[in-house]
Amino acid sequence: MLKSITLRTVTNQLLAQSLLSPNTVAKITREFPNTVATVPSPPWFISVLLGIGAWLAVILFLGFLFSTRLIESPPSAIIVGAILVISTIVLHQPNRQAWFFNQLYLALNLTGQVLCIGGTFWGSDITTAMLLAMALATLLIGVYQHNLHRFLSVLTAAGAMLVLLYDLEVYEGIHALIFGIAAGAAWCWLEEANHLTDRTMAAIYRPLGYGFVMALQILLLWSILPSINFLATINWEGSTLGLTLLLLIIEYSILYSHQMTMLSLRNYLIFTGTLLIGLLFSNNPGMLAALIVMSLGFQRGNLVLIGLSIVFLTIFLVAYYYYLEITLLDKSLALIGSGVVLLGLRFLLKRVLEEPVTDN
Amino acid sequence: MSTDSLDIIATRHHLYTLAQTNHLSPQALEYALRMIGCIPNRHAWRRFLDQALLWLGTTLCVAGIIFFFAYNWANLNRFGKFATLEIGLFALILFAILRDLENLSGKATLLAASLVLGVLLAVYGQVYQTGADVFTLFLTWAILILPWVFFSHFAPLWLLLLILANLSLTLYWEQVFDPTHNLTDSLFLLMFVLNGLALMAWEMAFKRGLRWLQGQWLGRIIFMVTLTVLVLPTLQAIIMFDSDYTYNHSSLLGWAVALYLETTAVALWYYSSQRRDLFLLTVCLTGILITVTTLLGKSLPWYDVGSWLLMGLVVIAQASYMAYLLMRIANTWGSKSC
Repeated sequence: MLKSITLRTVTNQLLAQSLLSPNTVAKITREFPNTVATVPSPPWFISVLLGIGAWLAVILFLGFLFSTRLIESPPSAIIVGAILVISTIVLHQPNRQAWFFNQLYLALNLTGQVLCIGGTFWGSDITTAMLLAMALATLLIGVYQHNLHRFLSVLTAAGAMLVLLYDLEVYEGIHALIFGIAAGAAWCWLEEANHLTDRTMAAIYRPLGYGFVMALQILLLWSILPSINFLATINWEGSTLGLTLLLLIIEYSILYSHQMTMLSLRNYLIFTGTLLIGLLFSNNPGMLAALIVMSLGFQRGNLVLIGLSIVFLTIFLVAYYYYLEITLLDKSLALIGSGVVLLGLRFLLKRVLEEPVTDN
Repeated sequence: MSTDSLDIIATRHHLYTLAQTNHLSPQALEYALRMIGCIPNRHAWRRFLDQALLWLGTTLCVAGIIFFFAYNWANLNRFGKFATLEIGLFALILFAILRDLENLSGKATLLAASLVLGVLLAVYGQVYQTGADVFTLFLTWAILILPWVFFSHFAPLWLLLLILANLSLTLYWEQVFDPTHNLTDSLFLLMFVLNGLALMAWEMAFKRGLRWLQGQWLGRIIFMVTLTVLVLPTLQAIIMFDSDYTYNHSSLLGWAVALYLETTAVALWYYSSQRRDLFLLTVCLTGILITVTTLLGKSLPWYDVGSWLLMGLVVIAQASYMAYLLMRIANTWGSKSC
C-alpha cells in the first residue's frame, strides 16, 4: 500500500536510523532538483509498443533487402548483416531523446543480427549459427545501450542455447539452463538495491532481469506440451528440483532481509511448505518458476513481474492438469489434494503467525 | 508555500535516482522503499501469502470437484448428479454468508459458487435434452448470478458476468440469428454496444470512488475488448476493400470504421485529460499503428522494392512518435506512483 510521505520525512528518518549522514542530506537538498530531472525509462507497455514496431520493421526491412537482391548467398547475408550491426552500434546515441533514430537503429541492428545468424545457418550449420547468436547477444548486451535490445538479447541467447543443446542431443542440459536463467533472474531482482548503486549494473539489471524472467517462462512452456514426435521427451523433475532449491534460497534471502529469526516454527513451515509444493508439482517446473517470479515481483513491489507470474501460473496450472495422462478420477483427487494442502498450509500459517491477517 | 525542495511526495523514481547518483546506500534505499510502501514489510508478506494460498487452494479444489463430476458422469444417475451439485452449491453459499461478503474469502467462495452454478445448468441441459440452443445456458447462468454480482462488490464476478453476456450474444448470433455467418460485422457492432455500455458503467463507478473498484485492471480489460471488436471489422474493411464481401456489407463496415475512429478519438481525449491512464492511451495508439500500417500495406504495390522500405520507415516513425508522445504525457503528469 503506497504511503504519501515527503522526501524530507524520508531523509529525516534515514538520518535518525544512521543510514544517511547530515552532509549527504545537505547534498541531496542542494542537488535534488537537478538530480531528478533525469528522464525515467518508459513503462513496460510503451516498451511493448516499441518492440512491436521494431519487429514489424525488421520483417519489412528484410523484405526490402531480399527484393533488392542484395542478399543472394550466405556470405552476402553475413556481410550486409555485419555492416548493419556495426554501423548501428556506432550511430546509436543512448542519451539523446532521438526517438525516431534510436528506433530505426534498433530495427536495423535486429535486421543485421537476423542476417548474420541466418546467413551462418544457411552457409554452415545450426551449431555455428547458434554459437554466433549467443556471442552476438552477449556482446551486444554490453555494447548496445538500449533496454529493449538488451531484453531481446537475453531471449536470443537463451533460445540459442536451447537449440544448441537440442542439436547436440544434450537434452538434460536444459535443467542446468533453466536453473541458470532462474538464478540470473533472482540475482537481478533480489540485488536491485545493490545494482542501482553500481554504475554498470544500474543500466543493465532491469532489461536483464525481465529478459531472464521471460526466457524462463517461455522455455518452460516445453514442459507442458503434449508428446510431439519431433520433440524429445524430458523428465522434468531435474528442473523442479533446481527451482525448488532456488525458491528456498530466495525465501531465506527475503526472511533474512526482514531480519527474521531463522530458527522459528514459522520458517520451518514456510520451507516445508515449499518442499511440499515442489513434490506436488514435481513434473511441472513451470509452477515453481511462476512462484519464483511472483515472490521476486512481490518482494520488489514490481507489478509487471507479479502480472507475468499470474498469467504463466494460470497457463502452467491449466495445461498441466489438462495433459496429465491419468484418469479423470485421479486428476480430480490430485487437484483436490493439492488444494487442501495449500488451504491447510494457509490455516497453519495463520495459527503460527503472531498477528491475525485480514481478508480485505 | 514551502521552499524546501524535498517537500514533495517521495516516489520510487525519486529514490532510485538518489541511489543511482550515490546519495543513498543500498541499505538506505531498501529502508526508504519500505517506508513509502513500494516494497512490502512483514505484514504485507503475511497478507500476500495468505491471499495467494487462499486463491490457489480454492481454485485447485474447485477444479478437482469439476474433474470428479466429469469422471463419475456416466455412473451417476440424474438425481445423484443434481444432488451432488446442489449440495456443493448450497455449502459454498452458506460458507460465503458465514465468512461475510466483506471478506475476500467470502467473495472468493461466491465466485466459486457462481462457477458451480454454471456446471449445474450444464448438467441440467444435458440430462433433460430440451433441444435448447447453447446460448440459453450462458444467458440463464448470467441472469441467475446477477444478484450475487450486485451484492458481492467483487470485480472478478463482474468480469464473469460480462464474459457470460458476450458468450450468450456470440452464440445466439451464430446459432440462431446468423447461422450462415453472413452478418458477422453486425455481431461486432453489437459486442461493441454491450462492452461499451459495460465500460461506461465501470468508468462512472470508478469516478464515484467505489472502494472495491479502485484497481484498474477490470476497466482496462473491458476497454481492450471494446476496441478490439471495432479494430477487427476495420482491418477487414481495409484488407477486403475491393472485394464483393465489402461491397455487400459496405454500410455495416462503414459503421464499424466510423465507430472505431470516434471511439479512439474520445478515448484519447478522455484518458489524457479526464482520467489519466497511460496504459489505455498506449492501447489506443497501438490500434492506430496496426490500422495505419494495414492501410498503407493495402495501398502500396508489393512488387515495388521501395514499398518495403517505405513501410518499414513509416512503422518506425509511428512507433517512435507514439512513444515520444506517451512519455511527454507521462512526464507532464509526473511520476505519482511506484
